[in-house]
Amino acid sequence: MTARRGTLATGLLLLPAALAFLGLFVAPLGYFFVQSFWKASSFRIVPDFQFDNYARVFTDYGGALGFTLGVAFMAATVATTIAFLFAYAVRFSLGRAGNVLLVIALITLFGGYLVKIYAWRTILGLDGILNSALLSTGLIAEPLPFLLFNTGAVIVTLTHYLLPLAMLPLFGALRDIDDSEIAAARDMGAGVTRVIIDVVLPQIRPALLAAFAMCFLLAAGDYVTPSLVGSPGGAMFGNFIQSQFGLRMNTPLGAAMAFSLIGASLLVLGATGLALRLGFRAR
Amino acid sequence: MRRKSEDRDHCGRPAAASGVSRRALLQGAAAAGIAAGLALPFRPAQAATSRISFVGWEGYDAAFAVGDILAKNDAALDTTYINASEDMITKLRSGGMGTVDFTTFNHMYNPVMGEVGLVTPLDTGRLTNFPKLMPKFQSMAKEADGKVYGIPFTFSSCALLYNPKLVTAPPTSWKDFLKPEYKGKVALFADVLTNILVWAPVATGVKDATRLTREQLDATIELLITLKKGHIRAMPASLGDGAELLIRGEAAMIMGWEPMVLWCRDKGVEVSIAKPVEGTWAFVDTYNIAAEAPNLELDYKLLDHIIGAEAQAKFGNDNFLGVANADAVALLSPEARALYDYDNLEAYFEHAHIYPRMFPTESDGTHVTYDQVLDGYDRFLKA
Repeated sequence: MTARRGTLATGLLLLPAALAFLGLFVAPLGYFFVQSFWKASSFRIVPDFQFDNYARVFTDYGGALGFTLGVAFMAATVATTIAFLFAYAVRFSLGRAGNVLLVIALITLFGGYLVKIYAWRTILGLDGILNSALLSTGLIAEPLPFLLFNTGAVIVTLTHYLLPLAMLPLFGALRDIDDSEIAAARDMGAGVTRVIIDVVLPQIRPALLAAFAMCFLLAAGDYVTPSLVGSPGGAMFGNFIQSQFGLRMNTPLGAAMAFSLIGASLLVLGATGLALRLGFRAR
Repeated sequence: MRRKSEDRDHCGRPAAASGVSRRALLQGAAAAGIAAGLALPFRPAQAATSRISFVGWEGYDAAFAVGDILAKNDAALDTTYINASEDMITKLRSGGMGTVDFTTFNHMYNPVMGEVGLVTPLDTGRLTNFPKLMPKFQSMAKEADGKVYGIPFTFSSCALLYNPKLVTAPPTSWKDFLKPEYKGKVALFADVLTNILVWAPVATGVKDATRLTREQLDATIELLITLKKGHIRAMPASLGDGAELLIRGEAAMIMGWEPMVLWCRDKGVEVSIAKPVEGTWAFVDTYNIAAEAPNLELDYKLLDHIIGAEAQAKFGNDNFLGVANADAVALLSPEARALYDYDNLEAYFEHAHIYPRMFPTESDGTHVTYDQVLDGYDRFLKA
């Protein structure tokens, strides 16, 4: 009787979360998944069951999808690598100063996404801080135009935005590492690099994947950054999805594009997880 | 004595010194919360009787703030700002009919919007200010089917703007964007309609850019791709971004918009408007009453106010856009008036073409449909 009451209480406690999950995540996604098999005609959506939308994703937008996955992979890799190095230094080398630096890094999250994008436009532009500094030091005679409005600027901006998000899971995982294991490895003659590869990274593998996944998924779905700092030819998949939902009012194709992006992203994350497992084994 | 101890907090300080005790504060907050929660559904009706729903471009609702038209009619305005004209269609199609009062479609959209029943045919006889609109706008309000689906209230054009300090000579053609000396120093606006309507006449010489053959569309897209690959510095996502490119010296020439001249001047950068031989595209935006509008009678009254001289002048001065009411021109600030050739609007529109309607939605066997234009534009973006 008590056990049953306990189960009932647990169920009741879980009910709000379950309803929120079903109502806010499962139901809208389910609706759009069903719609991804429908078709649009003259600004109207017609129920149907066909795979043309998915076929079009790969025939018409396959290049944009591949480009987007490449940009997201680069941004996530760079952000995760820098975040790991930073978190490692905070955890093992910088002492109290490390905590201060960590707080400062996390405070940048409060700055807002668009502010960061415009900050990089100010830094990388023709009359930006970087060009002005290079000109004043005499290293260049003319401002460098290639710093802004290209894929490199998109990756730099996304990396800056994603960095604090990647630091959080990595620092959390590094805090759980037992100092004595590292001391033992060092006592046995392992250098810093060997300790990181053989002792640290295998233990924080799930956090590495979590940090990478968070960065990758946010970057893959982004369409604002390429619009503001990317090249005119650098439209990412998100820009085309936005266009289908807005300008073209073709939500079935937009939904098919969104689910294709989710599927492709899961494949990339699966491959990354496998690579991390093979690359970072505890010895 | 007892009273004295009650007046102290747990640290022995007089309660007055710390304001209120924590318990009292919590009790008060809880009581206030419960009272507010209980009172909310029974709140006395101080809100306006009529809620007017506006779905359109930001700034286009400026006229409602002129005078006390809303208060006088016991009405309040609910605004939904859009990012593209299609947002209005989405809003109306997805449950907006019956709740939306006003939309602000570009006049090119009106025939289709009327045909599919998203906007109400208007009786201009009920608008006392309609005869005060300039003759061009009065005549263009009536569509081919004889009905009026929107009242023209503002206009502007896609202007070729340039920074005189960054060009060797004032541009005379859109083709100047292709000159080697401006490689990487020009910018297109990131909008499908603007790009096609401006560049189709440049690429093909077509007179009506909304009626393109397959070959003409392909030639237009090829020209846009050539521009993109070899000449464009950026495609700003907004007009503000475009102005910033000029202000920062990132671009010497840009497909822009007349108000950008004043935005740039405000930042200390003088830019000029060129008159390319191919002309450009003018847009005329209208006020529509949505189909099944919930406040039809009041909407007519408000619409009449919106196209009145005072409201038009407020709109023009706030947004630096053209006004349709002839009496409003005299009320404009000198800089807002100077942007448009009000003394010779015929000449203005001879250069900035007004197209009567959108691309065909269904194939007529000769011309490309809007969907094909959008496919072509996607090809340009992907190239």
